[in-house]
Amino acid sequence: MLEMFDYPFMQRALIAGTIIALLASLSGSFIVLRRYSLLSETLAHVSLVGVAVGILLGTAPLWMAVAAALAASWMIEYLRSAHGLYSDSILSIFLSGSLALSVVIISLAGSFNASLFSYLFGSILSVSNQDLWIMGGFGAVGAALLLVFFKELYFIAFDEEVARASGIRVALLNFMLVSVIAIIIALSIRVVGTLLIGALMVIPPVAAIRFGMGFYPTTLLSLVIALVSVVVGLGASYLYSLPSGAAIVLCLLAFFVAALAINRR
Amino acid sequence: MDLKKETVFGAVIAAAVAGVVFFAPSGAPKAESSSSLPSVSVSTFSLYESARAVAGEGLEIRTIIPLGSDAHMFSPTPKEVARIGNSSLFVYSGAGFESWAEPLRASLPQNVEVLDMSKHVKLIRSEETHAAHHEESHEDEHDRGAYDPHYWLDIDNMILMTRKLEAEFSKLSPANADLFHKNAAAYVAELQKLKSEYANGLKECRSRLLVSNHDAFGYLARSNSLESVSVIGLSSDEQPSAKNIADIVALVKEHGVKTVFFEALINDNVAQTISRETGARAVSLQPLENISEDELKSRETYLSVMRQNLHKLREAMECR
Repeated sequence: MLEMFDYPFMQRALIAGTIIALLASLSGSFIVLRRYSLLSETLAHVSLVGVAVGILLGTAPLWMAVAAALAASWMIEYLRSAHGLYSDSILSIFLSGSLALSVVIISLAGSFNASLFSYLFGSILSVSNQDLWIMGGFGAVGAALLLVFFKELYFIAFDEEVARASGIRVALLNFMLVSVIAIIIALSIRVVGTLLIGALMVIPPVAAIRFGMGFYPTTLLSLVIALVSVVVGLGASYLYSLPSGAAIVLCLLAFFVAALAINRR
Repeated sequence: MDLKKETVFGAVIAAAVAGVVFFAPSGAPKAESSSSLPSVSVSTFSLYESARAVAGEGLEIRTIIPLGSDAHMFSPTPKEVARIGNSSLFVYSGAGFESWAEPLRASLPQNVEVLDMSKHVKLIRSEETHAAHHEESHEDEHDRGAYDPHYWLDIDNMILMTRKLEAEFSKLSPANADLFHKNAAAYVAELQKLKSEYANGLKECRSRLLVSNHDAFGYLARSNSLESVSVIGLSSDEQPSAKNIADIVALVKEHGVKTVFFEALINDNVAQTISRETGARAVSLQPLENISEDELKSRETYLSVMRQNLHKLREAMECR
């Protein structure tokens, strides 16, 4: 049972999963409260455009993904706040638009590209030490920013108008939040994949909120749910030879169902 | 109600701590060896065929991509990654065929030898069907994706692969070098025989146009001086453009092509569409990326499937 984590690749997968679970559930609570859940899904697909461009130009797909996700997150936030468009419709335009764009770019690359496929589901089992340092570095900065402005971000998530009236720099903090989320997502897709990162951001906060506790305990609980799902999902993936990313997401779903069952209203 | 929630909350935290402790990494990796022989992990079916022929009883050969599954959609599970890590040698096909192999390379233990077979064969570029021979391997990452990865369909490459594996296996297990040499020579002789069957079988044909739904057959076409035209790019999950299909339909009509090939194991919508448009028959051709469950049951090999392909080609091209 224990020997599965004797393998260095499993240890690295566990560390990578832990870093992502931590960041995703921390930032996820703010977007869930703002009915902005699809932001993670959208930015993950935008990152795919970056990956496609990277493959086309033969440069590092990872950094292109970060650039694409950042640019898109600012555009989305600008359209939402300045033009008063519905956030869900902006997100859905960006989501399908970027998917179409990445498919076209990949076909332009005209080469054999199963490599885009590997970004859809990620490859948590082939995380290298370098990946861990990059994720750890950016993750630490992201987590620090989120924790420093935790109160303000919570306030904005709860009621943007009141927050603005009480002198909080709403626009700036909003841009900071989407930037941090964009970077987290772009760095995570290689590990957990485009199709699964949304689940890690959204399900833990939603499950934790069902318990109707204060904001801090709720955030803590969502963190625990994300971490346990990563550990149990990886373990199950090893024991039963399941795809790792999907096993983690199914664990998250189990928590969500349990949270619903416990808190029947 | 509150008490219940706190209990649950506490229980979840406790479970989390227990879980982490339970799974906590401990100690050094142990190799799980099912036999005393050094083991070699190979990714694709063609590598497996060649490796098995060369190794005989001298080494343990394990496949990574399960026989019978779609090689394009494969991604390794933790146990498979662990198995690769416990091998003495890991051989993959390369040239972009396995998207999971390159990232995995960086995370394997130091003591695992890794061999990218595409660096030791003659590759052709994917855009040019009449590409010049590509003599030496390219270290340039930028070019990697531009080569067609289905190189095992050129029998000469299969011979190069066999020789390369012989050399690698002899390094791995010097005591068995003679055995490997004998086995490799025998398999190469088989491959040479197959090659001459192809040469004779496709010498005089009414048509030399090979139309398919996926240009996996570039090597097969080039090594037999056929002209290969395909509907979509190299990866089977790409979608063709309307113009692309229209071009092929025009070509089929113009040349009076009677057979359109589609890749076995892959959905054949496109080939069926062309078939409906032109009245040509749609026939499956096996690109040997992997073999199906049924083929596995009936003990098919690289050699036998290549002979079936030859038979279908001869019928389609009306060869004498």
